[in-house]
Amino acid sequence: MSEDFQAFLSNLPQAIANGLVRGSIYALIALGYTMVYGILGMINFAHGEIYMIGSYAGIIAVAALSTLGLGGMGGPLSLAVVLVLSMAFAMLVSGSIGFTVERIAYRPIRGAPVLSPLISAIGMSIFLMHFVMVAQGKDYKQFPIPLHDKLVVTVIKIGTPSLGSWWPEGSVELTLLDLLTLAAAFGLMVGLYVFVNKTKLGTAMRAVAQDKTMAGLLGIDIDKVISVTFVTGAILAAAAGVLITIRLSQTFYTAGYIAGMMAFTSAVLGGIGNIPGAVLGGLVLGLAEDITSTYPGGSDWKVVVSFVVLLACLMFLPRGLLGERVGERA
Amino acid sequence: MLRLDSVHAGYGQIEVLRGVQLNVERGEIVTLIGANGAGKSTTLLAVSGIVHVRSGTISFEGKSLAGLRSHEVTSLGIAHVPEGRRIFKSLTVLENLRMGAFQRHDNPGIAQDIEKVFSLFPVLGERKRQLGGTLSGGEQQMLAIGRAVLARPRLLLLDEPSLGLAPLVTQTIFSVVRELNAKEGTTVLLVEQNARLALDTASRGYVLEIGRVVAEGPSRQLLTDPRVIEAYLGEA
Amino acid sequence: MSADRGIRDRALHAARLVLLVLLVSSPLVWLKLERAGDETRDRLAFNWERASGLLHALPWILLVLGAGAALGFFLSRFKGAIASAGDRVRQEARKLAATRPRRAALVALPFVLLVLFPFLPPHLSKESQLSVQNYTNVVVFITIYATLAVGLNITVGQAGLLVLGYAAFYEIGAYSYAIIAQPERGEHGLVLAIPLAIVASATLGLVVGLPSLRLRGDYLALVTLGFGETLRYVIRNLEDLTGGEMGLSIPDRAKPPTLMLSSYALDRQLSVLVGTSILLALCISTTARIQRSRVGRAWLAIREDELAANCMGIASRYYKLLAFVLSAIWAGLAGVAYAGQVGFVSPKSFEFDESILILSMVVLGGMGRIGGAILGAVLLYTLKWVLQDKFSEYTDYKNLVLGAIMILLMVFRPQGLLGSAQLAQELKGEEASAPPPAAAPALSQGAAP
Ligand SMILES: Nc1ncnc2c1ncn2[C@@H]1O[C@H](COP(=O)(O)OP(=O)(O)O)[C@@H](O)[C@H]1O
Ligand SMILES: [Mg+2]
Repeated sequence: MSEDFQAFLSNLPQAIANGLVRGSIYALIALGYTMVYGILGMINFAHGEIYMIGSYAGIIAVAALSTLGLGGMGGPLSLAVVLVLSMAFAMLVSGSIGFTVERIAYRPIRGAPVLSPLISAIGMSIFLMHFVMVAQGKDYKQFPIPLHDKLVVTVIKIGTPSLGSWWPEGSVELTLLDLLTLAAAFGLMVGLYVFVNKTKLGTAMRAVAQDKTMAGLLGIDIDKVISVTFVTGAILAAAAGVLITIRLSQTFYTAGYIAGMMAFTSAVLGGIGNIPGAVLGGLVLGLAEDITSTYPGGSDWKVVVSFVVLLACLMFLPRGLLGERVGERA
Repeated sequence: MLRLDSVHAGYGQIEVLRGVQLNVERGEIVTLIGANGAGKSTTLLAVSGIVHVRSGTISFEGKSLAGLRSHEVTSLGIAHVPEGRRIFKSLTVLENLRMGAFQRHDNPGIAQDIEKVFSLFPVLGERKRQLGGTLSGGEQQMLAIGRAVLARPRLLLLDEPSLGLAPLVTQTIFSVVRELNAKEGTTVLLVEQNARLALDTASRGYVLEIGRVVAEGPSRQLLTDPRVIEAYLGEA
Repeated sequence: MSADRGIRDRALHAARLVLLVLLVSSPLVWLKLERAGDETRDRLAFNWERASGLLHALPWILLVLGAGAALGFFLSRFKGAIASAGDRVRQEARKLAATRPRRAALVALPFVLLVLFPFLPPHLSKESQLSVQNYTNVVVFITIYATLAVGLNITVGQAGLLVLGYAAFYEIGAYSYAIIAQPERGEHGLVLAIPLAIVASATLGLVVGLPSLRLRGDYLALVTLGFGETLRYVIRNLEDLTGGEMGLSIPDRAKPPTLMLSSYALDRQLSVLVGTSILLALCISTTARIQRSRVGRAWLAIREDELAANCMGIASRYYKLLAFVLSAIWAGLAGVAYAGQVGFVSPKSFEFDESILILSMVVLGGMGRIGGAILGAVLLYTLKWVLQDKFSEYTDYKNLVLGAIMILLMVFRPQGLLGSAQLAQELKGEEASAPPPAAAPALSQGAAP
């Protein structure tokens, strides 16, 4: 037992690093939940599926590029081209599906009490998941292993010293993919922050979240702003989908279900509707998950742990860590 | 300029406007007075495309507004300052004003107009980085009007700008409304509970009662109409 | 004239949306990832089979579209006649179902026929036993799902609490039975399983219900979903008790007793059928009784406006908990029936899909309507069975269809097949804000110009 605990302690720094990387991906997905909640006051249950579709689109793009002879194996430049193009394609596909989902399933019933949009969203989630299953098959889709191996190489290794007899020494390794993930995730988040806070459209988004009628009276096309919100959220989720696919080197049509659950928990944890909150919540949840699975036998329980976090948060901290920010409806 | 022809409108099953007949000419200040619940706000909301018009027509500068959504009405040159101001509480004063100019793309012109609003209401300039929710009631009303001005409207719909304000603040706001009308040539349709103030400001008035216009005419005439005096001006 | 334009506009709008969907879904539909042999990566290919399949299906698609257009034209042409015919039918139906016992009899009749069918003597001959067995199997599942749907309708429909993880209660009932039926625990049968399942599911209902009291509608949905998932993980991880992923079989000695009418296999099923029919009848009658009682009215008040209900002195917390517990108990009992029917339980049978299937039944039939829940169960279980057993190449489309049904219902008919117009109003809502207080008019009526 104490030996287990020693091993746990020596692995803890690495778990923290992994948790931050994982958490930044959760944060990317959580942003979509929180933005839609902020503007429509509803949980977009289909958001996890948008993320899953992004991961499929990423693999499709990589496969298409390698068919064209751009395998990404010819050096750092070609690798970068493959990554950027596949990410862009995934964003295009997920973004357009996010747009369509809102048009089909949510816009016609906007303003209805919460039960109708919620059921419609659940229906959309199931529909998309099984659409991908029917369209692409029930097997795992593989990200090219050589490309994966090229990205998952340790580029930073730091030894952590032992602290007396109770804390054994350990080490932290970060791969190229970890660094790319962190950079992409935080780059996108900064971009989102600037978009929402510094641009006209972003300000309009906040205005619509607070008072749709007034926003309309000022000449803001509410439908368009809501579409932009869905597309933005979908783009961030697509990026997360591609990053995860490279990490796990595969994807599956149910991938959106658990990831969506985790990301939603992150959004609630940070305070739903609150954009910095979603980022913080994602990081906290990622850490919780990786630290739990580092503990011997813990990985069987990580879903349970996340759910307990969600429940505890809803019970004792219903407005989340940074406070809920849902537009006051007039 | 603005013309309502036997407009019927309402909410759900309830009919609130029962054939409203009203017109506003270019350059006028026209007021719409009436008791609480008469349908004054509903009339303005019908013009703005928020309340669905069941029958009758509304036209602006000869164009029908039928079926237009509120942002499309705005783009024709109508700005609506609704009842209760509806300032965006978590946006700054400056951001609130910029939202008023959402459909404009002439950034220098917008900057100029923001300065103009600050010169009309200096207190807003002092508070431009403050969140809208932290303003007092009077400041919020000023911001609401300033925000509408940023759209460079040809017609301004004002819903009870004096509601809940101190007399001094009310005077400031009304003098700005007169100034906008005189200097910029903005046409104004003013809804007010305070009938005397409204009739003093406007050149013509309409009296609305349970969804119908029951009296209309030049302000001077309405001010001396015994029925209006009894019902709306009281013994004041 | 203007009505025609309305139709044309709507058709155009619909066509635009369809085009959008076709366009947006095309990368995933037309491109496929496939792996040859032992390759380490997927190759991209154009999905020729799908293209040729579509080509072959084209005449059918055109036929369906044409029939749809013709039907639409017909309906719009003879709208008045159809409406008056509908009114007449409705009037007759109302006359027929004038009293409550009559109404109950009308609902019960098809079920009684359905259930009695396998007992009719001709079917007890050897030759037809296999098909009767299949049939009985279907009817047993319809009764189980109808019980589940009526049970879930208590929370979702009557009290307005969206429960997403309903299969958890179903699961705990099934496991209660399977666990005590194990040889090392004495191979207990139904006598012990039924009370145990009631206690276990009611307890779980309380456990899920208590934290949910404080949650808004959408959080509630998520928390119940999380509870369902968590329970599944717990059951999977507690291998000593539950057999983990492998599941548990129920030994013969602990299975439901047989009626000894015919062959052993059919006999077992017939006895289960008797059991599930009794269960369903009990479930329907008690639920209907409760819906008409003070409790049912309190649920209605809570569903419509919890705040107002509280102000009227309705202890909403108590009634919400009651809804959770009752709903859970029916699912627990249905779980026992399931375990008795299948003789085997594993976490696989209680995944999210199952909760969704039951929820779709309630939504399709019409939330808040017991008859609706039953109708939904009959229709959707039949759909599931047809897709699984008759057109097994289309099994995969089951959930696709369920998802589409849920969306289409919410957009076009939120009250479900049997729901009332009032429910439709409630579910569609109004964008309008709260009305300001009205005051008496000031001018006299005669003052109009
Ligand atoms: N959103 C609404 N839903 C239902 N009824 C409303 C709504 N808004 C206003 N009403 C009703 O319409 C009538 C007129 O309201 P309103 O136009 O606000 O009157 P006024 O502005 O003249 O005081 C009132 O009887 C009010 O109760
Ligand atoms: Mg008013």
